[in-house]
Amino acid sequence: MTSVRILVVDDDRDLVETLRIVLESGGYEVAAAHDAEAGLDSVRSERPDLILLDVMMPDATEGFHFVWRLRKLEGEYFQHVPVIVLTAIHDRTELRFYPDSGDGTYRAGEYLPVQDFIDKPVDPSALLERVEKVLSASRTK
Amino acid sequence: MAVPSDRPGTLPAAAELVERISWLVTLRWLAIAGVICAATCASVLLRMPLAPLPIVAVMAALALYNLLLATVNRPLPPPPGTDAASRPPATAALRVAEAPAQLLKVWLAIENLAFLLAGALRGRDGTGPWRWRTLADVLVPRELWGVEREGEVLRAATLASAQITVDLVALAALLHFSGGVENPFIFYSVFHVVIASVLLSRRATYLEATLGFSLIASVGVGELYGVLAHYPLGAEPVAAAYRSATFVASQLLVLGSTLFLTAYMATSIAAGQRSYEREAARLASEVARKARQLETSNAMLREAERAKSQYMRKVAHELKAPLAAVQMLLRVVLDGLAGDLPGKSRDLVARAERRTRELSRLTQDLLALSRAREGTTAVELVPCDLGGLVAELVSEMHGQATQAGVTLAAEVTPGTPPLRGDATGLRQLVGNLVGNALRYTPEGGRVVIRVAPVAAALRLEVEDTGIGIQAADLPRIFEEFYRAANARSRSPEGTGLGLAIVRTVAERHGGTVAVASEVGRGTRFTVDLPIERTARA
Repeated sequence: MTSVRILVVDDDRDLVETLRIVLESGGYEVAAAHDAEAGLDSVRSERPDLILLDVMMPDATEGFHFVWRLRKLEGEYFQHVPVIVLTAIHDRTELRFYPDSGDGTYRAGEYLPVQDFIDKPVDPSALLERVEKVLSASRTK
Repeated sequence: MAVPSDRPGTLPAAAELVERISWLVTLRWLAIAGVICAATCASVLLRMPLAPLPIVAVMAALALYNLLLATVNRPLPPPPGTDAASRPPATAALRVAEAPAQLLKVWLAIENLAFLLAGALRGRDGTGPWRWRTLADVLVPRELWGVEREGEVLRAATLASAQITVDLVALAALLHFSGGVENPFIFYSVFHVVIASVLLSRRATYLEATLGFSLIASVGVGELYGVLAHYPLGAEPVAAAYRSATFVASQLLVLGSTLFLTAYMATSIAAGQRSYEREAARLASEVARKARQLETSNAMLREAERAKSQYMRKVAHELKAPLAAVQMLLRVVLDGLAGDLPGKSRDLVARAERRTRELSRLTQDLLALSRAREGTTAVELVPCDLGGLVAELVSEMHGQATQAGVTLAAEVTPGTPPLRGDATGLRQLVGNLVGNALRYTPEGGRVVIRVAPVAAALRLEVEDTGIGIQAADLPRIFEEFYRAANARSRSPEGTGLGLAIVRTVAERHGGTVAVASEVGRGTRFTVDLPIERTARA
């Protein structure tokens, strides 16, 4: 069985490095992208098994847009690849609602189609636990 | 009475003066009716030999004059700036009605000139440099100088003085045609002086008193010396009194002293009253001005507070991401994922991680507080199920409670209605109260959360069997960064912002927080949140 690949999309390089160490310690293969555009390219080319996404990248909504653009890509894979949102908002209720968008990519008030939210900072062990949980849930589908 | 106004310089007396002009007209109709009645009674019942024709003629002239005044005594014109269309159109009928008004204006102009001359003749004021007096100086009471709508006040005073003058002439004529100084009605001139003192300046009142006295004295003296004809009131000997110089002199002496004493007393009282009213009006406008000032500075304070909150929020937000990164890096090191750590280093990194966690909690609390303070500007209001939120928190904090050896229970009254509010804020409110209860309750204790509707509000109670709060600390625990001594010694961690957040969130929802506590027994926080009310900005 090939190893499970996780894509980390985050503009904070220190955080990416930390996540890489934690995830690799869990036996995962880690790829990193530092912005949404590179992240989408990486998803297309490498087809990771799971995406760890920082939702508050530079303009504070880039993460949201990343999810919508990902889900609109052609292909079964892009509809179902699990996404875990990393947030420093410490508050899920605010993440349930989207910031306004004039480009019609999504409707305000819709739920973000992701599998889990994790507040930063997170314990290494807790992170691994959540990742494993989401992965196993996606495998059984 | 005057419409209450906060503009400086408005005075009830000023508006009253304007209104009283129509009151004079009414009074005059009564006087005309009274004279006709009295004259009829006197001649028919008492068989007095009155001359009916001259009396009727004087009364008719006075009635005509009164009719004329009624046409000019319309209500106050609308203040400048009001819609011109609301004014009645100038119809031909109205123009005819204006004709007597024009006549009256001519009379007023003559009268004004006379007053101005008479007033100016009396010389300087006593205080200040000598100057020509204006009509207002002569006629308008000193206390009304400089008030708002001064023009109307002057117009009213002019009209009043003209009327009093005409009335005095009419009275003198009536007296002449009904016995002269023998007629006890000569003392009715006192009324004119009293009215003048109410409506006019002290100076104008003395002028009117002098005029009244001079006219009646002319009648008395004229009849005494045969210059004027005498119209007897009755048969001899009373009817011969007008020929007695002693009688005429004593009548005039009493009349003159009465008139001038009345002028003195009535003007003093009226002036005192007007000063008092002016002072009251000044104070009222001062109060209104101060209230407006307070309102402005309050708004500025609120704006400053909001800006401060916003700034705090931005700073906290900027601090959060790097803090989270530092903390995660430290955790990775501590967990040995980056290789083994020698014992001493491990201890130091563990301390660094603990301090970072404290700092992170502080930024979180600062964010929560500024968010709650900024209120609905940054917050979406949604229907919140407080009971569900409590159940969710209880299950989340179950582990923490078990670890502390504390029983955590929720009692939610079924059918509790949802609350329109800020879900995040409410979550922080409940979370902070329950977190505190767990933190300050020793092992074996119990924490109960209750949610129940109370009247038009939802009541949330968080009750513990914890260490309690000293009575002296109770008033201060909701202050930012305040921590009670026993709380600090039990748990060195804690930002002192938790309860400040609780209170801010509750108040943003129009609610209240109350606390009851007994040291060593426990604490109960009660939060009442109105159901209908939405969080305010």
